[in-house]
Amino acid sequence: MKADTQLVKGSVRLLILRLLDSEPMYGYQMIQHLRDRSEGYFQLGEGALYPLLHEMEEAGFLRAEWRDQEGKPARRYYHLTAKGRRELARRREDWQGFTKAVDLVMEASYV
Amino acid sequence: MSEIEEYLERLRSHLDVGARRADEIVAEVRSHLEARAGELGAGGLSREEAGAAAVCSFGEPAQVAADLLRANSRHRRPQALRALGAVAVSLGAGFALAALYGSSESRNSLSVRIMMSITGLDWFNAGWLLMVIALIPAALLAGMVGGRRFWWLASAPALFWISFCSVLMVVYGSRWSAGQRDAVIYSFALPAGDAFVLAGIGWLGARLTKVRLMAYAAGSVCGLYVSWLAFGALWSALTSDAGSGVTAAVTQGVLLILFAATRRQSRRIRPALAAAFAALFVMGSLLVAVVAYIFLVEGARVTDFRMAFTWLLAALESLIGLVAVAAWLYRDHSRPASAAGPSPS
Repeated sequence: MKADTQLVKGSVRLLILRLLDSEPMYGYQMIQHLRDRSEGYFQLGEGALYPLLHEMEEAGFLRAEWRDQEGKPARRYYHLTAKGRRELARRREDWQGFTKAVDLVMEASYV
Repeated sequence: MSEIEEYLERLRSHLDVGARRADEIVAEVRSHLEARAGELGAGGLSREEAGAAAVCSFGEPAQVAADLLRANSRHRRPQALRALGAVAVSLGAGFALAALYGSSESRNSLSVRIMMSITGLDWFNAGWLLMVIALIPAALLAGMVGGRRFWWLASAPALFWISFCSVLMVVYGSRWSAGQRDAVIYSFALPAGDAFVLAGIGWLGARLTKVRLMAYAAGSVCGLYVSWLAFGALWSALTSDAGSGVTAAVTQGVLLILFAATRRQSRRIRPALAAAFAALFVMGSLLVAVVAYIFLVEGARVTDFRMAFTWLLAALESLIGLVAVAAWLYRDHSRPASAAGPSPS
């Protein structure tokens, strides 16, 4: 199923924060995880991911570090900061409130 | 050049941020594209096909760079500051020339000199041509440093003066005599011309930023100009009027050095600065040779304070030029650009 672009746009920050809450990752790894965990639903635009990561880094939600790899270019790993964890909690709460409200409306009887 | 490298070159040309940040971004994108190409290669594509597909799925470099620039706006500020530094150099040039050549007694106060350098460049007896020649490389440099966004900054002082005169006209115009009004109108025309010429040259500098040869040329002219000022100052120290010339030359030199010492230099501007300091080195060395000749052949006394001072300044200038060029060569060639990512920010 193809994802609604607007829906993805609205939730991609939350998804990135959630991914990085489990472990530090580099950009390409995030794309792969999102694709695999969502069973192909989230196909994040590759060129669009890095501006987003940089923006979140500027906002203080993420911290980046370069890690050397043997025989390959170094990779930039992103970590969640304490501020990022608070942001994740806030966004998660917002999201749960939103989905609950949508569910309530969808499941209501209009007869 | 591979598809990926070609793509990274194009991306970098659009990244209007400091060199260090641009290095980081390019290294990160390179790592992504190579990982993606590796995955595609494992799926059966040839190396070239995998590179092309990876690049294609990443997006148009201009669009990606525009998004990255929006996200990295904080890193663009130093560029404006550096462009302002270049403008300060150009103003310093005007000031220094004024100090050296605007020697008519009635105009010799500091405030008049500065105002003259901002506005009517041809009000000096002998300074007009020299001033314009001096400002051209400075405006070029300002455009090259400022890049696409701040190429107009070299003309900012002249534009400011036009605004200032406009306000004066509106507020006090009715009380002025015809002669006074003529003088103010005249003071519109010259800075307007300056603003036009300097903005044009700044724009040219921004357009030529990618042309390394032009960067060398602009830098050499700037360096020779600073050296020439220093030479003029030394000459005046040797003859009679020591104070103003030396002050002006030292101000110029300090401005150029401070400008060069900013941490976030664009890689494109480094050749210009290296050339500027190379010119300083050449000129300084020549001065050292001339003074040494005067000491050794002409038999000047070592106790001559001015001569010793001159020699010391020339030696210092030569040394600064040499050290700066060596530092640039070391920085630019001591580590491979793509072997590893930049250090953590």
